[in-house]
Amino acid sequence: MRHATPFADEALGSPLRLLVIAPTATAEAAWGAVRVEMAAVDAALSRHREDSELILLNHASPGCIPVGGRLRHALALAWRAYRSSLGRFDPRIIGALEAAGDRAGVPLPSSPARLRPEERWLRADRHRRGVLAPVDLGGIGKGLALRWSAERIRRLGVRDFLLEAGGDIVAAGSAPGGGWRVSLAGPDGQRPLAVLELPVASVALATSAQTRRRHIIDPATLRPVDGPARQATVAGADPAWAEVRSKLAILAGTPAGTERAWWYGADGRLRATASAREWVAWEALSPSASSAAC
Amino acid sequence: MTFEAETLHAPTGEWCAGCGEQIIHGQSVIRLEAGLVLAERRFDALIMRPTVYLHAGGGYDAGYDVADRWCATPEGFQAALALLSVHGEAGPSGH
Repeated sequence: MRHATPFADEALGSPLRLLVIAPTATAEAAWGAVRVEMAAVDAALSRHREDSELILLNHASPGCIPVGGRLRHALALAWRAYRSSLGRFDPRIIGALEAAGDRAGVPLPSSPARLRPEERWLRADRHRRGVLAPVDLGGIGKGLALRWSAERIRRLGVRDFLLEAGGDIVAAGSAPGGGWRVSLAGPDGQRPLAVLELPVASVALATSAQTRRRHIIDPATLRPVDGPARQATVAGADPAWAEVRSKLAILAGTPAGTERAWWYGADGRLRATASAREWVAWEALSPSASSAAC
Repeated sequence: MTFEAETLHAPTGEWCAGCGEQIIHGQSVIRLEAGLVLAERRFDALIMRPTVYLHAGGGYDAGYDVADRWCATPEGFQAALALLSVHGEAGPSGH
């Protein structure tokens, strides 16, 4: 019987957990690599640290400053998400985010009262970057932290692991008794909505929710989004893109265009795309929870 | 694994794995938590496992003005154990 070694700590302001199936020394090396990566991402991308590269970039706005590889990657991904979503995903909402009450406690330069659509807000040359307005990378930072941590684990030769950071997950290989099983928590700490069985070799899960903190901002209005979807979980190959798509699902009201998604609406019903439904162990939940399923 | 009965004395936001309803002030619950029993019966909860509750009546002396509810049925335990049998928890972090 294979044995999974558990590790737990905090990173990026959230719980960090790793289950890894490997010899003890390799498992400990994997955990060490994850913690190193999480610390590096925190130093580069956090909006909760005055000395992070992101905050320095925001204070330099609209000027350009030299930035490291992690922030360059994150900005490039945020830019692609902004372009491919036609501006629905917009990292320039940081001022509205703070105004809505999700304060990081770090002084920021002022944000524009309205976001200009189609604006080329990212400036770049070889090693320098600049933003025309302060930005928040939000879930992209966590998604990238998971992506890069998983890459470090794989480089150690580990195939089977489950890495969880603040509710986002990368699952690789298989668990000791079969597929990895993951419960899906509801918004605002409500009861689990479902138990997911992950039958594929590698998958990332990311969840966005409009919780009491109301931290998902509509770029068009710069007000907290008040659509029909309260929480959305997206499964995909990459945790950073799954994070972007889960946020877009909240902004769009439904997760159209996502291959595997679960979403919890304001009417209290849990829904799933057809491809996602087969991953849900509905029977694991209470009768009242099951009756709410589609 | 141990099963413990306790009475919650304040609204906690906890919910019952059996009926899916929130546990309200004064209701008795059975708490299910996976962990190791160490020397002198000291309990050490496992990481990566949730704590799960089941309604177990209206209070030890039945004197509370709350709805009496019993969810510690075989079906309730089955639902509770399914939630304990997970490797991780996905969900919103608020970030």
